[in-house]
Amino acid sequence: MTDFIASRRRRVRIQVTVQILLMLWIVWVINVWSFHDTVRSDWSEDGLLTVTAADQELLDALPRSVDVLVPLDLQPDAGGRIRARVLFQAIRWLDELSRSAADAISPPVQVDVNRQADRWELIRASRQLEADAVNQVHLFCGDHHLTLDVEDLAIIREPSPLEPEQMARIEIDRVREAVEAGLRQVVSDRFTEIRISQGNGEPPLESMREVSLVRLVEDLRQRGSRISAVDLSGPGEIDDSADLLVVIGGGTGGHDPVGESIRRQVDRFLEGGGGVVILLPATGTTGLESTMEDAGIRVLPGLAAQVAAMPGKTSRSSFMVLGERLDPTHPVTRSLARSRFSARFNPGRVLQVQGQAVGLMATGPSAWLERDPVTPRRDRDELPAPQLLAAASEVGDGRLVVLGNWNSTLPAYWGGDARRLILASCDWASGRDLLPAGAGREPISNRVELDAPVRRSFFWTSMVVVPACALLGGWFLARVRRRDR
Amino acid sequence: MSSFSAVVRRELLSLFVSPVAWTIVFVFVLVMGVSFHLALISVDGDLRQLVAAVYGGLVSWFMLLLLPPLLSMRTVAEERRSGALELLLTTGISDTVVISGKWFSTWIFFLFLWSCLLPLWGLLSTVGEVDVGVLLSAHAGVALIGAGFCSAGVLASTLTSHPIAAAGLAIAINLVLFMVHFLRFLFQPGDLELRWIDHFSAVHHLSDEMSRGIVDLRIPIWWGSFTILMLFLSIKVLERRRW
Repeated sequence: MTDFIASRRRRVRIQVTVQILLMLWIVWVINVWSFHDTVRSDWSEDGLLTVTAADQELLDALPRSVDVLVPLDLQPDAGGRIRARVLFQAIRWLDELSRSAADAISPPVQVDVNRQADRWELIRASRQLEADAVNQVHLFCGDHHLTLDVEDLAIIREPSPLEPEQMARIEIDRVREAVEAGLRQVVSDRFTEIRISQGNGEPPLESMREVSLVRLVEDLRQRGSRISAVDLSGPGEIDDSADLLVVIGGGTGGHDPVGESIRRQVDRFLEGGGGVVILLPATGTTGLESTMEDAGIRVLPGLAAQVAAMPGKTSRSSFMVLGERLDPTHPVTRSLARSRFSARFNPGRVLQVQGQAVGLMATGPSAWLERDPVTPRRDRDELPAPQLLAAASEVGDGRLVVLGNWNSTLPAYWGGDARRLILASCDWASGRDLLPAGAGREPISNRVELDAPVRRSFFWTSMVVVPACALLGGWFLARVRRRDR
Repeated sequence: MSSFSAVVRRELLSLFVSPVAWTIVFVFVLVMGVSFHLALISVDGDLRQLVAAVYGGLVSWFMLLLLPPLLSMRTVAEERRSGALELLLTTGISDTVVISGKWFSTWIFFLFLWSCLLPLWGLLSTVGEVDVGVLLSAHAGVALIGAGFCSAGVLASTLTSHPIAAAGLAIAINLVLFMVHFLRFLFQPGDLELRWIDHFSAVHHLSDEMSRGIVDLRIPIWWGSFTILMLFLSIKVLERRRW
């Protein structure tokens, strides 16, 4: 009998062991299956992390794997916090994309350059990055490298000396669109070929001088362009491989207008489908006036002037004008027009458009066309606002953009809305828009204004009312229980 | 089914009339209320970030790790010590029903605790727009992880007849599941090991995914299978008396 019980126990133990092993195997198999083949869904209201069919199509179409690097060196001020939010959102989105297609895009590598200095140095050396290549999203695909700045990912408003009360905030969030455009660009084998003409006697494009185009060139290169200089005042020729010609009218060297033969070259280049962006000098001519007039854009004599607000609530007439009104329908300005725009031109030439040309950006109501190039003072016969500061036109298969100011390209002034306008103009004129027109959305605000009544009512509810309800519930049940007994 | 509902009813009644349970409710709502209030101020009223701060924050994790063991420590251990378990098992109710009923009632009480935070969200929705989808997914995350932690508590309770020892054992199991996350710092993005750590990491599931509105099928599958495994082991431990 004892033997029978012992053998039965032994058999049951073996059975239980087998059952447990089988159960562990089932759990393992189910998890391995779900690990390889899962479904993700985004339950949030704005669906910012939803991978759509179009996103999946883009990822499937990527011919090579893209590596992502985000070095972070964030500041604790209000602007730094907003930038951090944008960058973390980009990291989150890229991570989500990498989960959907691990072969197409690797998970983003995030490096804190202060806390992980050694690691950053190693990565920097292997990727050949500059020390200041931080707070950017770097996309690598083979030899190709493309950088997305925070300004590409979102339009941010920050407090300024003129508007100190303005809170730092994201006006337009275009993380998804910028990442999509960046991915398309970085895997492409074709670079946008850009030629820049600066006048004559100019420094090389890479010059780090105060009067140079170094930051413009850097930005265009980061956006997947190949850039070289062309001397149109000398024997220079626009080669056939160029997609875009940028003419810095004022010139970082001299101011000589281009000759007739060069003008004809520019005309041919435009008609052949090339893009031309002309940034006008403060005074004098570029030699390309008839090209612009043929395209329906005329440069008026004089400069735009306006009454400008100064710190300390004072104001004075100045040649520093703000381009505020944008054409909301043109591809160059469609996405820019979705936020409050203010590009500073100092000084700004005034344009007039006719025919197929379109005015892109105009001043606000307090500007006028000043004929006196030295002292800005409004006279009765001077043309009132708004004054057109930028225009675009299509000539044959080519695209022409004229901007009424050139010195926004200098390192000291490069930034803000003027930078955005110049880059958008270059993108459109070259025919390879980095960001789709109208890209981005206003972030959904889930913010509660924490004024005194809200704080007070929340304090009392969270710390007194709800705990008191719990206490009363327990006391009530205890009483009922005692009564039932 | 009727025996299952009878066990659940009995367990829920014993939980809801117990002064210890109501003390837990009181402490929970007080601590979470303070945490909620401080989080609201620290995120400057941004309700989207508030969900992540409340449900993925340290206080929330403290509650998640501690509450299920405290609620489940007595389920089997106390009954075994008092001899009531033998009485229950002689009524003809199967071990499966006993274990699943006890786990289910503990889980319901655990969900009741977290639902006590809903009035605070209700108050905030009168002055701002609460993203219901994100809130729902955060609660779903708490419910799934809570189910796993409660089942680990029930298993611990079947292994010993001392409730405190059972709670200690359950906290240890929960801590292991919590600490898995920190192994990710040993690996680089893209490593397969890192993806497996994310698959099992409770912190990743709640703080990085569900409290931000992202629901991945892997999360319910892992926590569902873990819960079933723990309950299965509990049943086997309870069956041991017959071997």
